Amino acid sequence: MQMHSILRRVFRRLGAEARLQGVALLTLTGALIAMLIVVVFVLNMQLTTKSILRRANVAVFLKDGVSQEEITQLQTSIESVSGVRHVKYLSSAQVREAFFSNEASKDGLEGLPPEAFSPLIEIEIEEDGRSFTVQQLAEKLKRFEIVEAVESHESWQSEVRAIASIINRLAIAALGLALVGIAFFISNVMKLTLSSRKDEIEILRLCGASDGFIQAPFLIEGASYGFLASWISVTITWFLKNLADREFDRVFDFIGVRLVFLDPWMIAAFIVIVTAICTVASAFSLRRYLHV
Amino acid sequence: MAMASDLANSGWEQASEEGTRRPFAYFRAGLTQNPYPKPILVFENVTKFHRPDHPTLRNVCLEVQKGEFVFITGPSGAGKSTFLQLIYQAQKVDDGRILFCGKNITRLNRDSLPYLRRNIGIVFQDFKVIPHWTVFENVAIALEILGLPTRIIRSRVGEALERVGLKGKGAQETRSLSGGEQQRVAIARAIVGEPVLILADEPTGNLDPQLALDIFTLFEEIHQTGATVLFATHDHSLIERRSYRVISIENGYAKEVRSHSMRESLHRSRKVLHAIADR
Ligand SMILES: Nc1ncnc2c1ncn2[C@@H]1O[C@H](COP(=O)(O)OP(=O)(O)O)[C@@H](O)[C@H]1O
Ligand SMILES: [Mg+2]
Repeated sequence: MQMHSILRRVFRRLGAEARLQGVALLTLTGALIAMLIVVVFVLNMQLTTKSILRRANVAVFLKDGVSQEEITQLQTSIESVSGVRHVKYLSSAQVREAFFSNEASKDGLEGLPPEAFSPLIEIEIEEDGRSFTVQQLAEKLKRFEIVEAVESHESWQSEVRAIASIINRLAIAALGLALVGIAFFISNVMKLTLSSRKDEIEILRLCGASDGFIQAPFLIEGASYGFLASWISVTITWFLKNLADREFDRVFDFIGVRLVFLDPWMIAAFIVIVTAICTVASAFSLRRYLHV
Repeated sequence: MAMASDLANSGWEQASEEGTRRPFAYFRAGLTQNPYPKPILVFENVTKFHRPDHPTLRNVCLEVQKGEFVFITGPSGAGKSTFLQLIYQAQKVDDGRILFCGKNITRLNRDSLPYLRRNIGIVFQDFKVIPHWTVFENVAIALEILGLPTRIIRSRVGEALERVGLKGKGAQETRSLSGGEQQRVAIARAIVGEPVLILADEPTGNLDPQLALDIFTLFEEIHQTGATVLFATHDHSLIERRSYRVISIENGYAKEVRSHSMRESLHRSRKVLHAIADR
């Protein structure tokens, strides 16, 4: 098609409607930044809860003086349960070492001998697709003679999980609403543009321009809003994330979390989705309001 | 001529060839071999209602030959604009047919309509130029719509601006021009694609008498290059100035109040009389 002419008209429009276009771009960018902040927050929350839940799992404390043979036997029988990802035995010495590797717990306890710590078996459980509850597993394990105690964090784990999933759902609903709002906003910007360009469109019609020729610059304009605003908002949010990382690094260190940002394919998906929504919203507006 | 060489090695050929495959062919003015049958425009019992009891046009029958200059006249609100709009299909007929280049245009679908309009150059009373575009852009758009290459567009627009007396003003913003000049821009846009038919809807209505005369003269020049011109006006000083055919619309009826062919035959017979007398 007459791409030259279409692009020329897009650029001609740039100067003539700088104000409307500027406001539209700014508003859209603002909305997208808010969305991205939510996305980044949820993403980090998910990763954090996941790592917390993974870290917890089940600890099986063993009685003192249990033979290596019995331990190996227990270990293999636990390993054979489906849904168990990893089983690890820690001797008293190893437990002590792990305990003191954590700086916070050092003070005044250096004198404790290895015997003060029970040896234990750490069981890592698959998050999904297991055929038993942690409760059931714990009950079973307690029946073994050599087991002193079983510690699971089932109750608070499920609480964390529930809260995380509520936040997740809320965020998804908010993002969905925001996308609808963006579509609505862009279609209204296009409506304004069309009404201010009514004369121009009429003249093009009278000169024999096809619908495609008339509509293409408007579609390109709509898509550009989405494309530019999503790029700008990604860049700004990335700076904000780095700023937060720098400002609050001690807080994050304390929680044991490193802030992550969207990975490249997520950024690409975000830009594609926003651009697509803006294009579709413009096309909708053109269908609806382009009658001359 | 520069035009002819353009034609041979440019998008023109392509555009017109492509045109034949399109829903509505592309006809050019001033071609020696006319691909279309005469007459160029036929109204067959055309009726148009705006109010149910009172038709704006009733049973209008009319033929326009290629290369004619026709005045359309009548009081304000008589239906001159309606008459022209039926030709470029801004309005639909309620009854009857309109043949343009032998093709019934009253049944064109939405997709074919642009191809019809590319064959017609239209000039309006209120100019209908885009004020914040340059003069060049306003004229070039007619060729951009045809999909011609930039190089051709540049040279054709230059020629058209020269023809309407706006040489060297292409880079100016159109709103900075006077009314008469803006109308010249509109005329350049109408003729730049060399359409076979030019419709002018009171193009001098907004201009003072001297400017009106200049614009009218411009249409005559365009007519002399082979274009068919329908010129709607209620300015009798223009109509009286020339002996072109006049169609008057009144109370919905279109009457031929002055026939071009009669005048011409009169002119011819006078010539014969002079010749006899000279002997
Ligand atoms: N699009 C339209 N809708 C309704 N009425 C129209 C329309 N176009 C023209 N008319 C009516 O048709 C009549 C002729 O109008 P018009 O063709 O503009 O006359 P002229 O150009 O001779 O002044 C007027 O009474 C006008 O109100
Ligand atoms: Mg009128």
